[in-house]
Amino acid sequence: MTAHINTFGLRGVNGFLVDAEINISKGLPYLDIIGMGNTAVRESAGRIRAAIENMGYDMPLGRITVNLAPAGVRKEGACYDLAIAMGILKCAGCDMPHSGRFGFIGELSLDGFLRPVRGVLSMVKEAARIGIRKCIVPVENADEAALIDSCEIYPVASVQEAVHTVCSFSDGSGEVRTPWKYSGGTRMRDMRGEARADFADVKGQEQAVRAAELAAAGGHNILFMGAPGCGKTMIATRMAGILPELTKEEALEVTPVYSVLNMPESASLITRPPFRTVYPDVTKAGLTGGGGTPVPGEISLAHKGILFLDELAEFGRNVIQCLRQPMETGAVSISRCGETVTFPAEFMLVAASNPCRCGNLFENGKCICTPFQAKEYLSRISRPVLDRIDIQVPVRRVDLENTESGHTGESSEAIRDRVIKARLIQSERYRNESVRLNGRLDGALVRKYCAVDAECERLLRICADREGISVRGYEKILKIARTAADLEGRRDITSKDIAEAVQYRFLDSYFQEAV
Amino acid sequence: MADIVNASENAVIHIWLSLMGKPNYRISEMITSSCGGLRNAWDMSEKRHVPDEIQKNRRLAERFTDPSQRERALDIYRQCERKGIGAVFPDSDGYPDLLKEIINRPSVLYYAGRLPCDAGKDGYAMLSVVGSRRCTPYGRTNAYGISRELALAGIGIVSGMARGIDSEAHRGALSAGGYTLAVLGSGTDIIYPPENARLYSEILEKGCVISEYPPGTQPYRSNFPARNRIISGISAGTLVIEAARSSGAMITVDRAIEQNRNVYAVPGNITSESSQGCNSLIRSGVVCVTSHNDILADMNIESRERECGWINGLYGAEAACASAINRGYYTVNDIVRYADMSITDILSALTMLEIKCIVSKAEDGTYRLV
Repeated sequence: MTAHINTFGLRGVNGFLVDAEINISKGLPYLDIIGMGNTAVRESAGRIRAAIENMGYDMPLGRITVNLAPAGVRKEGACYDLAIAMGILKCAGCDMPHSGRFGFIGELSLDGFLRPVRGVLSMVKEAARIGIRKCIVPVENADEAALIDSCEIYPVASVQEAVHTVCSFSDGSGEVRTPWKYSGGTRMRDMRGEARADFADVKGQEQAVRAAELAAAGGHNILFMGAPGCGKTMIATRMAGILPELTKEEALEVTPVYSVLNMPESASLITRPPFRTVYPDVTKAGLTGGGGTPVPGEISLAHKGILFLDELAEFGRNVIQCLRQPMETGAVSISRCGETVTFPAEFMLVAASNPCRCGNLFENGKCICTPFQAKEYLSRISRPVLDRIDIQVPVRRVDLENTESGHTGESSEAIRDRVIKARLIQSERYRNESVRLNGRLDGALVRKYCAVDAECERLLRICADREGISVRGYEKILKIARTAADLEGRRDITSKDIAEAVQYRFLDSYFQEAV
Repeated sequence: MADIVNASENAVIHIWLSLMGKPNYRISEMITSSCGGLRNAWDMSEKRHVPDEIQKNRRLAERFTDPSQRERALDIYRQCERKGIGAVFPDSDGYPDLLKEIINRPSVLYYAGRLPCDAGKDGYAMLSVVGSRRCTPYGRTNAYGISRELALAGIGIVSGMARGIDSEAHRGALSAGGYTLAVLGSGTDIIYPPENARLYSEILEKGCVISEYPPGTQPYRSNFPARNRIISGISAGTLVIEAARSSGAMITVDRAIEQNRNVYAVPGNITSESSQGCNSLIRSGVVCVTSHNDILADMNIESRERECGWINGLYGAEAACASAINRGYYTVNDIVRYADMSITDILSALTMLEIKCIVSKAEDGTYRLV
């Protein structure tokens, strides 16, 4: 006698369908689980036996074989418990004719109640994709699962309730349960955190704030350089607050990453662009993701949001180097034991760094480094990564006098309105392209969308002659100019935009000099 | 010796004499006179015949007769020929006039490029510009700017091609298409500091690199204070841009005073460590330089009026930026506040000013008028 039950496993941030096949044959009572499960899967035998008995059902006598298909894919965790238990009950004669229309997700406790599992969102998303319209999940995961509109969610507390829920669809006796409605709206988490901090508090840093606005509008990577305490971090943390809200699709890409790591944020739909701060002591695996069974790292948690690298020059070279692939492709691939997992990692890089070893290079005359030491410090930053940072801007300490005088900065809200407008223009312009933002343009696309008139061309050539600008540098200038024009809602790039954009290649010219 | 033609004979002997010891001018002079001529000295050395006066100094006598010293002189000479390095001596053409006047003049001067006399600088039109290797953007801008203006007025700029002020002084002169001379503490074929390779080749092309050390000499620490006397000695005056109280630049100033040369100093911030030397010089009475015209006036050279008050040709944001910088607002944030214009206007105006060569961006991201 065999039964089939749908359940789901996790690979990276994606769910995949697992068919739990249960067969009971004659033999000594024994529960055997096959299908490349790890210890947690194999140990579920004990939990299932206890749960079934404690819920008042009879554990069937005989040799029970559970196969988790596809059998060639490694499976981890206790999320298959409920499905296996349901399968055994079905096999043992419990009448559940509609069980094939359900997906079952949940871990069992010995007394038969359900425990929450990680990655429910990804699993339900996969269920909806392949046409399973009903899912039974632990109560604690209900809100998360209900984020997917096209799947009906039935949260249950115990094995018994699960059985009753499935039965109610078939025997027509009891009333049919109504699916769970997403209730997360009231406890919507504000991912901004720092976004409560407003750009209005930033005083006397007009240059850096303008650069932050450009970066946010065009999705450009940005580097702030300045002495300790000059306000680099202050400005960087406020950048999340000027990004537009995530769209529904984006939110459904971001939330599963948090769900897979079982982070509290995933209890509700993440609607604000994430802001992740990383410090130089991060490991390569912590940054890009990793582990025996790969889990996402910081760059994936920053998907569709901001990855903030504080003290860029202090990071290990090979740690920074591994940002290259994600910065280019918007995703990161991790290979472990012959399996390759891809995590989304489309982030905007915001970095802060001291300009030299003592940090005071920009503070008139306070630097105690030798010129060689000063140059050496910045040359630690990987050039290929630096090449992909469009905007580089010096930040200086502000005199107390200037912070106290009236000049209040603009509020984040005012800046965000302009950023949203500029982004709308971009998504309209790039509707037929794979990119959405100016910062992601490259090669042919730059030429196509950042065409300039003869006057701008002339200006660019003069600048290039003066400063020895490379082809990539040339493209950077065009991209920033494009964003500057978008911020003002202009269709064409003017020479003024170009002239402004030239000012943001600070480090490039610095290194040019070092040659 | 037979394989070297007569004209070169003198050179080899001069080089050989310069190896006899320091101060090399006095020693070679003494040897020449006691032997009764250059050629005689060489012959006596070959015959191991030592005049009494040399005999007094046993070490010198040993060196005088040592055949390996003669070999070495020949070797240096061949190396010079191979590398295109010239050598001049106090009694030969081309040795800078002003340098002849100083007591411990080098008895051999190796050079690459055009010597001052070939470039039409008669010695009185040379000014040395010296300062700290660890300089501030203020010093950097002044070194560049003043050197540039002086070069435009026809003055050759002498300096030591070190990091900081020295390099900027050379660059300023070169940017005006002027003549510049670098006095090295190493052989003229050794580039130190290495990042100045490009500057070195530009100086070779348009100016001159000189040294009292034979080709191939490494930049030993001890060479540098000694070469400072050449920097001051070869020029009519010495301008100190930025120098701490005890620094190489102040050594140059001491030499210049000993050699009876003019000294000029650019005043600096009284709180700035790197201007202490300059300020104390000014207090003790050297000419205070606030513009290149001060030097030109002191040297009795007609100042060349710079065409157009720069601000006249400008309008709008560019004019506002230029006047803000002129008033001492050097950072973008300060300029924005002073000019009270939008940051986008200011940034693009700054680029335009850079292109027009009115403003330049220092390496710390501040802006100065050129």
